[in-house]
Amino acid sequence: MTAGVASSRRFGAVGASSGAALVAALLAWLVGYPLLITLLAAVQVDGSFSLSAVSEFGRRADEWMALWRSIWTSIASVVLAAAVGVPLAFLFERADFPGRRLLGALVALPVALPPLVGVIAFLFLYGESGFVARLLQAMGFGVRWRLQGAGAILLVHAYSMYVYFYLFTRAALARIDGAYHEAATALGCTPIRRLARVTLPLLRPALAGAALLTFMTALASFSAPYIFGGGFRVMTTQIVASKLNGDLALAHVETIALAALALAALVAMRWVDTAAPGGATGLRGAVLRRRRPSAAWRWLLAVVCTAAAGVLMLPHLTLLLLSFVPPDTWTTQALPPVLDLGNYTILFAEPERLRPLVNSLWMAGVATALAVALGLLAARFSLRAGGRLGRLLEGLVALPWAIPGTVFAIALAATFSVSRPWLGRFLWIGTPWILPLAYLVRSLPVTGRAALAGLRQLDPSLEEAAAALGAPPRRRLTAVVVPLLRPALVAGAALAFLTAAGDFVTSIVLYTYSTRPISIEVLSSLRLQQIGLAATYGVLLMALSAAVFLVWGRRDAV
Amino acid sequence: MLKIRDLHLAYGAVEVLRGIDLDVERGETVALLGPSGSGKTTLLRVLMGFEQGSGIVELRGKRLDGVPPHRRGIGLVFQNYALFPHLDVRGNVLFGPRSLGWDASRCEERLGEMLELVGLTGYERRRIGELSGGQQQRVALARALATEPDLLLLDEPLSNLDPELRERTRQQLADALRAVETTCLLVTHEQDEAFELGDRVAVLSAGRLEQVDVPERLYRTPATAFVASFIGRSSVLDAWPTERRGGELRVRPLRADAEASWPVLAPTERSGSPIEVVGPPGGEAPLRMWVRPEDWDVEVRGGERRHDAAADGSGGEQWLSGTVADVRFAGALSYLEIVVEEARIEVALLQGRVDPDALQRGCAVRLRPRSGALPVVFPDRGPSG
Ligand SMILES: Nc1ncnc2c1ncn2[C@@H]1O[C@H](COP(=O)(O)OP(=O)(O)OP(=O)(O)O)[C@@H](O)[C@H]1O
Ligand SMILES: [Mg+2]
Repeated sequence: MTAGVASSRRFGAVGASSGAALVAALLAWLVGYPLLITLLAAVQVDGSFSLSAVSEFGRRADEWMALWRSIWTSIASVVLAAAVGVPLAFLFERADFPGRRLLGALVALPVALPPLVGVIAFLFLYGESGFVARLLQAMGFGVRWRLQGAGAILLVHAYSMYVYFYLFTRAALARIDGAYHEAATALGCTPIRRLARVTLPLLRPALAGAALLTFMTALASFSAPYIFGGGFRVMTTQIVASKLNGDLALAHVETIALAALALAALVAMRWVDTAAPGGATGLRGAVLRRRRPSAAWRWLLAVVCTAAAGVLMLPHLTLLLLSFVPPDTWTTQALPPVLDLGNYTILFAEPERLRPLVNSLWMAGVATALAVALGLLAARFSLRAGGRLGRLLEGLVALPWAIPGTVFAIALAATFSVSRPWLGRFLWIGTPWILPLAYLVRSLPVTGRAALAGLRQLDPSLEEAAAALGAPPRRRLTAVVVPLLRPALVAGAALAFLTAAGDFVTSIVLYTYSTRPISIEVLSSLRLQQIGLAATYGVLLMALSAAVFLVWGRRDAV
Repeated sequence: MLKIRDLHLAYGAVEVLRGIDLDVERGETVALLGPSGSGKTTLLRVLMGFEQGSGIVELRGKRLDGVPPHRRGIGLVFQNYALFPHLDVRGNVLFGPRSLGWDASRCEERLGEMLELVGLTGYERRRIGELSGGQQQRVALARALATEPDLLLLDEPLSNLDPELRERTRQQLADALRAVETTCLLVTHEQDEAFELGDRVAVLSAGRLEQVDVPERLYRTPATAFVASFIGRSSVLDAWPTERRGGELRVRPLRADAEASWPVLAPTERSGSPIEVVGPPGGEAPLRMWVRPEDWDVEVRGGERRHDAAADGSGGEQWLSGTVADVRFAGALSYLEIVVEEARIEVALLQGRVDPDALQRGCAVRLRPRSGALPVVFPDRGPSG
């Protein structure tokens, strides 16, 4: 008897590798290919190999300066965001006081706001003719300042990115086993020693995660440097400036430099993170009992936290207020003299005003739908094929997360500005399709990761059960997998939609007048001193964020 | 109905199925019994088409190679039921019929039949999360039967239930399977379950089928040492073959120079080389003998009868002498643990067969296999037989 040993191929793996290869090819064309084209364009002049742009980049001091500024402002952003976010997290997680829940949720709100909205809100509040300046003037203080340069950028970064530290730290604190604390206390640890020796080491993974996220976000940040930078150029604004000046070759070199910087930072952070001994991931246990200070303390805490939350919410409240200020009514007064719904009426009554809103919604909608479908496909094939192909798929989906939006904008512009269909290049620049495409690429990590997480939690026997009941592959997908994945997919889609609808960084490179999105209209309103209109667009984006938050909240409740 | 020949499967270098041959007749239920990790689930998965093995699998005379799971016409009840949590009872039961494109009226009719079969009429709109474990099990059965599969596979259908519920559900399952007359292959690692639900029982060990037979024969005439150990309880004793008379083999128990020599059932097929009868001297015992607890004759030894056993007329000392080490009362039976030399022997006595006052711990007894009950022997080849 010969033992004809068959190596098993699991259910679903059959045919998965060809499907996976197909999806991988599509993703490579969408995500990897444009970067490759940009790389090639950086070392070419008029179609032949040349390092002239690269050497120019190397020679120019302002390029190195921009690179350096990108690095140090990102590091400073991490430090500042941590300085705000971590103490807030301890306060809201460890102490008990009236209004803790509501304030704790409010403090996390800025996370879902498009960056440009935060930036203009800051401008209207703390800018040289902003709310605060006017108030001070009205009170007789003659101080004047300019909200510009590195300080302004860092202020906005700290303000919008502390939320990462806040959320990560709170989640980790909630997980840390109270027993650790009790054990440490029983062993005679002083509170300070306990913090240094027990709590912080256990928080390490969360802090590292928040630091990485903040660093990458700051490095890719465009709105703040663009609005507040002035002469202070970082890589993202440098790239867009070169592009607007028509110096394409240099823009391509800069783009590659920024992409390399981002990837290097990612690798370095991963290395630092894995080199140190692991922390408290996955710890679960009794939730640490919240300290319940005396009544006086609790009320003091409540007041302090309300004030903190108020300060953090102030920019958005300003935006809301300004959206009710009709054009040309607020000149030198401390407070706006007239408030009405005029801006909203204008916005919805004038087709040209409404257009950006409609544009943003349909483009974000199309991009989100495609991103969800592609993310789901990629996640499914990644898990089914497994092995190297599976990891490649996962990597391709995640890549746009690591690469700054400016880089992708330039790369897509480079790739889709010529028509060479046999090389996979189409003339899409100047058509309505380029922005949805850009949004799609940028949304892939969000939807792909959501689908991947959902699929990993899905019991594989459910799909097998469907197969055993005679359901062909398509019915298994539509009648079992998608309905069960719906919460994860909806959450991913909501976030993707929000990001796309508020996108500024890729839009400014790729938009055309007829397909201009909200962010571009905000910018031109600003230029035309139509503050109220700009604020109104901002408020609409905020409303969208709030809606998304509701979806998220619902998902958590399930 | 189902025919399996020389089925092999390996996960990488690990061979999980090592040449399975099995036939299941139409309308028959075969219980697949084996210890954990023996490959029971894997065999079902291969039949289902979830894993690809090598060898022949035929259903109703058609080879299943390359037929995808959803076209095999095989139903499966998962160990964890795998009910769709986003659908209600009705949605679950009708999932199969709808997949096959049955029209609405046929679906409704089938739903009614299935729910009546498993006693869940009126539960159509219940969510899966709102059902008890036993009800979920019944929904899983109804769902698998709804498409009228040619073959129904059940993977430990009762193992997720607590013992008390298991008993009751087992009865309902047996009734339901009998009612629909479906051909079934049912995996379990509980002997009681296999014996009650299976027309025949297939014993699987380390990827090989050791024996496929009706429960009675598995118990009485196990084909391998594994089956002898795995099915029921036995005391296992060293044995030396003394003589072969016709089909009958006699062995000396415990010691090569023992006076007793008992008739045993010699292994037939599978065991390889015929058993050689060797002389008294010799170190390791060449055979091992399995004796069921209820197959012993036990007598209390009176002082004067200590060395005199000729009275039983068998011509020679056929008894072993031992001491009662433990007595356990268990309702219809009492279990004795008797120490004979180094060996510990378990004996089950029907209540009333022996005076309870006479059989006490520390009491001297003698014992031998009941006449008519032939112990089985297999060559001693280590624990795996
Ligand atoms: N996907 C897999 N990859 C590698 N080995 C596997 C895989 N699935 C099962 N095995 C191995 O195959 C052997 C048989 O597994 P199987 O699940 O068929 O056992 P079983 O008889 O059903 O056991 P149980 O009674 O515990 O369910 C086990 O040793 C198991 O470790
Ligand atoms: Mg199993």
